Amino acid sequence: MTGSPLDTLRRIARAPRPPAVERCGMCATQVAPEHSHVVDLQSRQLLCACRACYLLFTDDHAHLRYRAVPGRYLGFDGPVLEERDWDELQIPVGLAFLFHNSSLERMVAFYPGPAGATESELDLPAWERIAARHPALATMRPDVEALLVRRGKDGYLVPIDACYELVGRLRTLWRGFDGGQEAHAAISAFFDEVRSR
Amino acid sequence: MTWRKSAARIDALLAASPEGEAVVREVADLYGAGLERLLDLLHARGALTDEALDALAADELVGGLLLVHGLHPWDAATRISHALQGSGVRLIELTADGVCRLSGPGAEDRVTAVAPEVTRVEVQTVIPVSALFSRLAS
Repeated sequence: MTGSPLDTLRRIARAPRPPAVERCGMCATQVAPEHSHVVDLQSRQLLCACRACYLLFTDDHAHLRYRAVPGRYLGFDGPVLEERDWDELQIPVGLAFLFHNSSLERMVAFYPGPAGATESELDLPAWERIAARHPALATMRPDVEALLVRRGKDGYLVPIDACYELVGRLRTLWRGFDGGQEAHAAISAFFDEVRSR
Repeated sequence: MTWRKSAARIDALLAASPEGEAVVREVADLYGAGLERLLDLLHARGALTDEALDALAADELVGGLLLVHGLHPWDAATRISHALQGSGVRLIELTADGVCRLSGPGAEDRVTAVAPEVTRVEVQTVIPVSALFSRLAS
């Protein structure tokens, strides 16, 4: 049927929306659902990255604004943080991730909550004590890798985007002071995934 | 009229590069939201009188754009009757499942232009008595 000159616009505007595709934050090319990220060291934001753009930022020592997030997962035997460490961190929940922020030139600690990730004070002696017990932590790369830990349970060296993914998942599920049942189930499921990596 | 040329150019450009549709969709959504806001603002101030609304609805370009964004104030039967004015054809019936019955041929395009919800246009065929006789004669 021929009709209005505006038929094309009408068709496009009324058509069901195709599922949103994820695009590279650098060059806007379409990326697969499983893709890498780069960290913007100024805004601390994660950007989705296609393979080509990702590879531009893999050098740890380059003076660049962006840094590629590696895919490494590393497990530790037993709890990485001791009860004393947790008490000093004053984190109200039994879950945290720690990483070296190269802009601030120090270690920072975050824990999840309904508002996203909240920073907690982490003093240098406390971190040096933890690092001394686990030599593998010396290989943790600044800005892009983090130590993800559960109080009294396990700890892993993970890519920083995994931490933000966990924070994102928990944000919508978090109820009350300690997160509630759904959040705890999500944490367990997430750590099961991390362990299998 | 330049807006018709504009619409035809959009068709031609999209035919040449269909990937442009994603951009067109976003832009159309933006303008649609703008049109809706515009009507809301006018309505909130009592400026959207029946007279003003009818003038917008009856305008081919404005009415067409309102239709694109599902904002047209007239129902389908009203739009069709309005579009048929001067054609000598009348709207007999518009069924719930979108069948439009017209009193005569030649106005199908007028209908589809203003009523995308129409699924089929049917023309009532009443053969004039004189035509019957001429067929018998041949």
